[in-house]
Amino acid sequence: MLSCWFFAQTAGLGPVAEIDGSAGAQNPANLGAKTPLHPFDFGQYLFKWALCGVRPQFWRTLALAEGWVMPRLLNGFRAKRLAPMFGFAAVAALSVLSGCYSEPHFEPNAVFRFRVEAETDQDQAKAAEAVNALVADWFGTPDRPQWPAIAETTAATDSLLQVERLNRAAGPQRSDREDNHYGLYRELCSNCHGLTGNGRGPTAMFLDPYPRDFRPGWFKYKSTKRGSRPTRDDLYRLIKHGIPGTSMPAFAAIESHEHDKKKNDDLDAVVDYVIYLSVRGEVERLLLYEVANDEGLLEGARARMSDQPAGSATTEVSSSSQATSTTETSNVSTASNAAPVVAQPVVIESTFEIKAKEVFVDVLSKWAGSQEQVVNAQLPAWWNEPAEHADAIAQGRAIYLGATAACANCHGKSGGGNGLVRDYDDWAKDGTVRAGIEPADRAALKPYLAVGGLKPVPISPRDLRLGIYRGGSEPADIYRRIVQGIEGTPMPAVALKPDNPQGLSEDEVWQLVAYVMNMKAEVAGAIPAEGDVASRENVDEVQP
Amino acid sequence: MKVSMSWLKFGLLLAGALCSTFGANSVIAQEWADLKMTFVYDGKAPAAKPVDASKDPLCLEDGNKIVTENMVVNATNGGIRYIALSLDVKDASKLKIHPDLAKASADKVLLDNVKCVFVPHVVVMRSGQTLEVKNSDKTGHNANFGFFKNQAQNVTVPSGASKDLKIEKEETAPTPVECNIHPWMKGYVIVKDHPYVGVSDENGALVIKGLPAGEELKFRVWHENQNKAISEVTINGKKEKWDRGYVTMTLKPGENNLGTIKLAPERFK
Repeated sequence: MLSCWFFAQTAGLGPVAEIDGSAGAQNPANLGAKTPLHPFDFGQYLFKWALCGVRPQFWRTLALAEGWVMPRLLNGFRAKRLAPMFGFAAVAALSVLSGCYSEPHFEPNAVFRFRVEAETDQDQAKAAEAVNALVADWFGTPDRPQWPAIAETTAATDSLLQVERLNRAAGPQRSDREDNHYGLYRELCSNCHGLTGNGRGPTAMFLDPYPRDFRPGWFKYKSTKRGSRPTRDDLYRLIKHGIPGTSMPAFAAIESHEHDKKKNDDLDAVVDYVIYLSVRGEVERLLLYEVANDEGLLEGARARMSDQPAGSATTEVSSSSQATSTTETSNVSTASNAAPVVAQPVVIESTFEIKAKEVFVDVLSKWAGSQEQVVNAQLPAWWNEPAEHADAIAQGRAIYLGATAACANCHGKSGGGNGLVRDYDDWAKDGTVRAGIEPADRAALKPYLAVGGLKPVPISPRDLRLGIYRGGSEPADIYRRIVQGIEGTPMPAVALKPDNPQGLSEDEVWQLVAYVMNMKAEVAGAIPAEGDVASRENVDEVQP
Repeated sequence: MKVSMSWLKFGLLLAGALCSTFGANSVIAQEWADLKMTFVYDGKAPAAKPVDASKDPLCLEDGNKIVTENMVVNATNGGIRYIALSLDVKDASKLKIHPDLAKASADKVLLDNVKCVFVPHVVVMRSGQTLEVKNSDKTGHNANFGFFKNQAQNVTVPSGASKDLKIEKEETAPTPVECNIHPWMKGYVIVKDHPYVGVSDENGALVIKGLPAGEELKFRVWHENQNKAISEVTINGKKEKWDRGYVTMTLKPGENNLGTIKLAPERFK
């Protein structure tokens, strides 16, 4: 029973109140208003605690408690014997309902710090501490997001997101009397992507592929060039439609409601918040890298720490943002509320802060400039002419098997993803290969896992015969995957004319697209047995 | 008290005099130094391991045999190949650079794919230069660059083709480059704002030319298979600490030969 409850909590199946089946739990506003500690946070906390070294004791205790409770329940309700259980329940309820709410904080990027420590062969605790303090000052906490107001970045910021709307997705989930929802990120995203956007939410380790870690700023499926940030539309589309073939569900249900214009920006608010988490995470990453590699900056950072106790700026700022909110009616007892987020001025004096500003400006310009990086993908005229399209499929097949595109090397001759490669994506390599650890070496992995890295899972070339395309099933999506490759993965960009005389022409890429999209039909009824799909033996026949 | 004050004044005068003399000198003529050293494996040379490349027969044509390149030690003289020593400066614009080297060459820097290995295994280039990724093989390759400060790239290079990449920024650490089609293929690219990087050859010999003489220079040593940084070396029989792989030295004009630098097997994985 207890473990069922625990599982329900950690797997995010529902808030505590749902255990007794009360319909009121459906409305997150009730929860936000009544319980200072949001049940989901509590579940997450328990989950972390269970996973962090005390696991055996935790489970043993849980089993003991359950072994004691269950027979008593089954023997009927004899109040005398049940007395201790009521005590237990009372303590649990008290701890939940009373003031044990501690404001959640963004998790420092321990895996990246691990990588930097390996690279520099030096403990980076001081650097991490300084960077985390600055990032907290500039970006706030999960309940109270902030955005640094830096004059040079105003235009970029305005074109990228609505800072004041960040409160919609931030904080615990809650809603107001007009049924505007707040805390959307925690309601919809953080179970998998984590409070910090580090792709390490409570359910992350059970998913394959792992949820995206937003912090490095790498995104796979977008209309822009490899190495560029996605556009807002790209993110919006992924969140709205989900990612087929992965655990990422579609959130079309929270999109605009024709009858209620006020709710129109729920999905946009989530996009804002994802960008916020990504910018915040990338600034943390890049700044830590700079500080770790430049002792001068570290001195500046230390000086900053000593004359400005960590968190002081945060407190100051949050009190001012609360001041603006007093006029609004709020039914939420937590610090986070419906007050719009206001960009806050930040102190930029030391070399460390100047470097942080440089990094922030750099990261922001990448995001704000993504629209200019969109890869043009114009369907050729023949696409809708059946006869010509059929020809294109035949030619596309030759290109697929040919040496120039070399698709079959990884995706296999029949498209089953059974090529040569056993490899990992860049998110897995970040804390392993880049830190000098072989991902398949279980003993060597231990320190990486100890700092919270997810167990590296090999990445496979897509089985193209299934017709499930993660990045979208429009021809233009496939076209972009081919000409740009997929960021963060071994999928390379094809060689293209005129830049590369031996490469494919644009039309040839479209022929390849036509063939790839026809593969499902090609193999329908002729999909080889399971063994053939799994084995990587038939690669030699692939060779041109 | 009076005595100490006069000593202080004397000291200040002396310091002033020294400064002016040295300052004048540096204006008149900057002298240049060449740095040489040889890295030797202090133990039995480990043999290179063969790579199973049977899945791509084109890699094995003409009896080609592929071996791992992460630890290349000369069986005859113990020289360690692919050790890189690079000058560590925060701001290369303030660095005195030999006039011949002041501007990066306009030529492209070549990274070739030959018989299913990257050639050279460790590429050295300057920021702003163009890296030409070439494929001299019959089979197709890709080159996946894990740049940190530059834009990460992953390009397909068909047989006989080449692809130019402009590398704009300095990279703090050597950047790995992989061919994902042939998982054993791994190389490194070192990108610096200055020309002062040396990579040891098949005899373990490393040379950096045209360094500014007479001033303190900080270098960092690196090898892809190092077990943490190379923090302890034996130079001509004498043990020395190179804290985290860093070594500071002031060079005299002309040739500076550090001699033989022995590295213990435990310095490597």
